[in-house]
Amino acid sequence: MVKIYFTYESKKFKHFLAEGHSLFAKKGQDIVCAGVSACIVGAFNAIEETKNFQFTLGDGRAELKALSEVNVHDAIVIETLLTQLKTIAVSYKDYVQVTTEERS
Amino acid sequence: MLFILDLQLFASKKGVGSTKNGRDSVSKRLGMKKADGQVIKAGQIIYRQRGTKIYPGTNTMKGGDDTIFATASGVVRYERVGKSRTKVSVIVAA
Repeated sequence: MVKIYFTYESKKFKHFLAEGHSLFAKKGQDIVCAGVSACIVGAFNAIEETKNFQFTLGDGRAELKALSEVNVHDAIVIETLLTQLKTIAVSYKDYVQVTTEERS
Repeated sequence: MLFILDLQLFASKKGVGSTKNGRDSVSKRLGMKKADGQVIKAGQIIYRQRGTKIYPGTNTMKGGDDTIFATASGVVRYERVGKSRTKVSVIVAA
């Protein structure tokens, strides 16, 4: 299962982490993994102010850390990513789990 | 473009191996060919088997492949022998 965490502080995006393997099917045929990968890599490439973030992308792991204030454009990109991953999780709840955490 | 897309980024490394099974021989249609009480002619097969699940009785013989067949025309009769054995005979009509 791919576990995905979005962390916010005072409603502002702070941290995104996706880790694990979906295990929906064998490598090359795993459509759930393909959906999750496409959304994440697409969002990472859509980020405008890349210097405001720390990116990590590797086998079964993706992380995005906000190093400073997130501008409106990038906040929308991250919101879209959250919605896309939640949409996948609804249809494939045994393979993808999305958790959002609000820190004050 | 900062990141190149690998659509299988979150796929498990382990591919599902192929099974080494999946072979079977053609079935040999063993078993009972004439039931108890059926009329039978000499030479007809009564029971196809491997080994002696059924033993030959009166007016029956066992072939090389353990097949039981009738040596006289009559009616098939299955009888119990001892605790766990069965034999088949052909009762010739008087």
